[in-house]
Amino acid sequence: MIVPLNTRALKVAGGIGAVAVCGVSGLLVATDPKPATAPRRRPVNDVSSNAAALVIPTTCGTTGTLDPALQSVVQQLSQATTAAARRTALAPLTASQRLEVEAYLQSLHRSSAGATPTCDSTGTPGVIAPSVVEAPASTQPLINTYVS
Amino acid sequence: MSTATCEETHHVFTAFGGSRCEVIAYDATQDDISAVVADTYAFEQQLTRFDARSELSRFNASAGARVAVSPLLGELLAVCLDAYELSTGLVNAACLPALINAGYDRSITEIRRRPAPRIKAGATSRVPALPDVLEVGNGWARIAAGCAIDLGGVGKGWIADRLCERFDNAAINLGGDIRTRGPGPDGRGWTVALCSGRVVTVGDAGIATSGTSGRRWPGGHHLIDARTGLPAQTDISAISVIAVTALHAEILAKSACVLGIEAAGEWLDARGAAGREIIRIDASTLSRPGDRPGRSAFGSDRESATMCLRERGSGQAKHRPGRSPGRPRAR
Repeated sequence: MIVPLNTRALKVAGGIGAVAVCGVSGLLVATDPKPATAPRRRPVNDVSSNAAALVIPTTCGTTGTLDPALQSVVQQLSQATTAAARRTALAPLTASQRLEVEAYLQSLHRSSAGATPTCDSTGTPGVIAPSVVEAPASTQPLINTYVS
Repeated sequence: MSTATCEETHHVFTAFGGSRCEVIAYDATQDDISAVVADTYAFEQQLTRFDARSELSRFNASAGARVAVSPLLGELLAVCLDAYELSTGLVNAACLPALINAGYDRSITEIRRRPAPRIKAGATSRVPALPDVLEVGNGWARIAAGCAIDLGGVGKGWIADRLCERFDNAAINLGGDIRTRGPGPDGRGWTVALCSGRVVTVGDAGIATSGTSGRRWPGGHHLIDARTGLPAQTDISAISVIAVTALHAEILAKSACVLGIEAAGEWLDARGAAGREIIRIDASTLSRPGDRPGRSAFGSDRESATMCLRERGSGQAKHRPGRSPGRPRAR
């Protein structure tokens, strides 16, 4: 059966339908149970919960890039009290890994020193100057410095 | 893995564009020495500007974009910013375009083999203030479009320090950048010949030599004056500087060489250089031994202050373009 409808009737029918759909949706939202502690707004400074789950692309990453597998070596080096202990900790690594670990440690040192600056580029007490003395004329040098 | 401790190990090898490198250690195994050599090669491979596959070359190729960098490159870039500040802009890692314009467009080995560098006549490259064009964060960095980084001697000094710190009694020489540590072979320190041949004895120290007599070619040399963007016009042929670390010595030596004899002495004194030796272009020598009468070389009176690199905070962006902490003052 074909029911002829004019344009005006179609608009009215559409409007009634839209009001009905919106009304039902609003009713469902209004009656939906919400957790009592849900915040009204997203906390801006809270990094405790969802932030940990964020995956930041490496091209704009703001987290450290040291291979997590090397963190244990970093810990060993931080606790090492002798040069031999440092070499022992570094020994199992590849050359590139050793460089990354040492650079990472340097940057950590830089960060911690930066928090409480102890010196500036023009000199401040606290850093020991190397001692230099003239060697006897007949001394054979062990090592030479030169323009390379 | 061998574990026998050598009484003395002296190993010589070649790296950094054919430079003589050596390690002398008194508390090391052969494996330790092998690690030093391997790490030197790995360092060079990762940070050379002469290999398009190196991390530094890829970083330069991505100029304008913020990219992830390894801890090693990130640290070295941060060190370059510190070097810029310490040297009041004289040591500027953003000088690579100027270096290339000056003819240093290939490794020094290739230039020496084929001594006709493509010097761009009349070309000058203004060297921008490094803090204005280099941004280093935690795990990322960005160099401004049109700029490029050359780590130069700063890298050599840094790695010499790291390698030597693995030992209690050792000396590392990477192409003239030396770091010594410990009492030396006989407990009286390390004897080091400076650029003029004069020999000094040092304890824990860094020694570096800079000059225009090394990497040079017809019409130019590798020591760029960041104030002009051209090879430095200096009356110093070579200068050796003794400082706290090889990195500091390298920065001071290069800066002083660019400044020239008249300004170099006061400049170095103000920054705590422990000793220096200068050879003029005309081959005459100026010295400041650094020895202090009545002062024990390795006693307990090593208390005097000297310079150190300014340490920086570890905020999100350690260095932001446009926030130049240290403009060149020696312009």
